[in-house]
Amino acid sequence: MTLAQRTLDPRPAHSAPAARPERGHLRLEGVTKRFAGDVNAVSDVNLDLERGKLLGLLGPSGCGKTTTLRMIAGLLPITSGRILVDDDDISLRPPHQRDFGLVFQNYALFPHMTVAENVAFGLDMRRVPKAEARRRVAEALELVRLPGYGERKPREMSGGQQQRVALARALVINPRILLLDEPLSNLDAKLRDEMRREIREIQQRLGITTVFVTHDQVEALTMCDVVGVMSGGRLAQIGTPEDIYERPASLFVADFVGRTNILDCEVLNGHRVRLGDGVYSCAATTIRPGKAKVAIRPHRINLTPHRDRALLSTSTNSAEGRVLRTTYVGDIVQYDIDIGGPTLQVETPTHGRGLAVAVGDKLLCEWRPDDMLVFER
Amino acid sequence: MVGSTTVGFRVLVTGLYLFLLAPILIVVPLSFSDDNILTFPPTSWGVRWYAQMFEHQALVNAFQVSLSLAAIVTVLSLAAGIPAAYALHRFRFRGRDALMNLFTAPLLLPSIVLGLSILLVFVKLQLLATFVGLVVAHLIVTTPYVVRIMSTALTTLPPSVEEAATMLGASPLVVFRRVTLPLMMPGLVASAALSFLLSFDEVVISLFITGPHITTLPVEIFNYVESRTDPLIAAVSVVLVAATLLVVLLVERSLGLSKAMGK
Ligand SMILES: Nc1ncnc2c1ncn2[C@@H]1O[C@H](COP(=O)(O)OP(=O)(O)OP(=O)(O)O)[C@@H](O)[C@H]1O
Ligand SMILES: [Mg+2]
Repeated sequence: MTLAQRTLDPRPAHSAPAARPERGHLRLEGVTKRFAGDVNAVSDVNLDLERGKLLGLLGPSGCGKTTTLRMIAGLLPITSGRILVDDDDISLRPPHQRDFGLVFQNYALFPHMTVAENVAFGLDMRRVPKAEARRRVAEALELVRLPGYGERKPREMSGGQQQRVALARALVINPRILLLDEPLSNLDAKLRDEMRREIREIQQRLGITTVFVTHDQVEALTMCDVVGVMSGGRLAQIGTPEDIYERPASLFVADFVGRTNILDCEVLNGHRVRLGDGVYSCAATTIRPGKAKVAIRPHRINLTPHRDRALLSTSTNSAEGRVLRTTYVGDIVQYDIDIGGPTLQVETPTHGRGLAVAVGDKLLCEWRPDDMLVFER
Repeated sequence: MVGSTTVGFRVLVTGLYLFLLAPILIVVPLSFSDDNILTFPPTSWGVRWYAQMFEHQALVNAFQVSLSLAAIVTVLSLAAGIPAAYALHRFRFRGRDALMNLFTAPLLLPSIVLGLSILLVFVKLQLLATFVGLVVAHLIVTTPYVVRIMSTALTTLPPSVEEAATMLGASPLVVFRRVTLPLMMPGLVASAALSFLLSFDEVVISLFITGPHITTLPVEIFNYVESRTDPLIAAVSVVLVAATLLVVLLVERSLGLSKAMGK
């Protein structure tokens, strides 16, 4: 049994049975928040998060992620709509009676308490016996890789360490629902990666229903069971990471999640578009003929030397292009390629041999119709 | 160039300190005079006037009044000012700014105007020359300071810590006791000390409402020097300065202490 498995065990042998609250099944129905000045910060958000699942709320700065999270927490009254946990309408329940854990964007540790006192606060409120509380605090601190830091004051710790204390403080109470507001934003890339795995592991093992706010799409795609993409206070799309990435519901989602070529095109019929000088097959669309936008992921475009033309399969789009620019990124090389009108960005992995491509070279770009998504302008 | 600036600066600072400390530099030697009238420098030395001070019943009475007055005023102005500041900080409601201005308006009024208006009201209420009257009058002076200082202390509260406590299951009262209050401690100590000193030193308003039966130490001193010019008053002044210094030191110590504890 690893340390992580021991820690926060839902049913420790020596604690009273049923001491742990049920994990919640979270539902938002038409949740809306209007601040003074009649602009909706959050409009009509509907979602249904199964017990034990991790939802990532993804979106650009100011799109309403924190506001949504604070409404779920009960810190902000909702203007309209309902919030339900296990079919219980908790919209009006005060936050201190919700038994939710919340990690704030700015940590919000208690500056006058030591790290251990910070983590113990929630246990204290729940009247957990001193000895058990001490044990659980130590375990929670080990869980976030801060063993032995208990006697420090928050101001004696780095931003990343404080963030982990905040995480320990929220986890130690075994919350019914865990709410995380960009809890990893201040960690360096390596630690962030480790903490992602750690959070995901704890979350899955304990089956904590969790809402995770982030503006980092990699975080959302890699960690979450369900991703909700927000834009301007609305839930633009909600679905599995694969849904979001492969079948974006709107131009906004296609553009925000992952890198994408967004190009002007003209829809000719349900499966053909004109792009610059060429006509290509696209994923089936119901958009009426006329001006539209098309999205193609840079790494779904294949580059082949010009002379291989004979190998082309007819079910693939292909376009001749001239290399305008090459950028070496490390794991990939990015090419800007003029295909007679629009410029395509193409990415190919850098493995071994690779193409010896120079600016001005003529190449063939190929991509599958399914990778060419059409959207309203 | 640099050297001359430094020398000039030192002379300036020394001069300023001398100016600020001049009263004390004169009063302390005067209090150890053995003369019968105030003359500087004294022609003979002794502690006679310190002994006399304790014999002077009116002064001792006034001192007792001032001390209990300052203590009561401090407690009451904290009791009124802290909840007011907290409510102004915590809740957003219509007329909040107006209320804040109302609470702190007495800060802007000259004491003489305040004293006169209090006199006019107290005549009607029959509060003149009563201890209750003095308490109320001093509260009008000290409470605005408490509200001001505590409001400032509350705005420097780290963001979301109260919400964090709420999320961990603390009811509003517990949040206040376990998080808000400890974080307000420096402001609390500062406003307590200020209330105490303001009340203890207050002359102008007290002059309007004290009477033959009840008077405060500053007013008694004022009355005394109008009729007598012996070094007794210097001895009293030294005791007052020492008491004030003690309060300031206590604040410094406790604030320093709370800083060390992580404020
Ligand atoms: N208390 C408030 N009063 C008025 N407007 C607010 C308030 N809080 C947030 N807003 C507005 O609501 C919108 C959503 O804010 P929110 O903090 O939820 O964004 P966010 O998605 O969390 O952004 P970020 O990624 O920068 O944290 C913003 O336009 C913001 O200006
Ligand atoms: Mg936010």
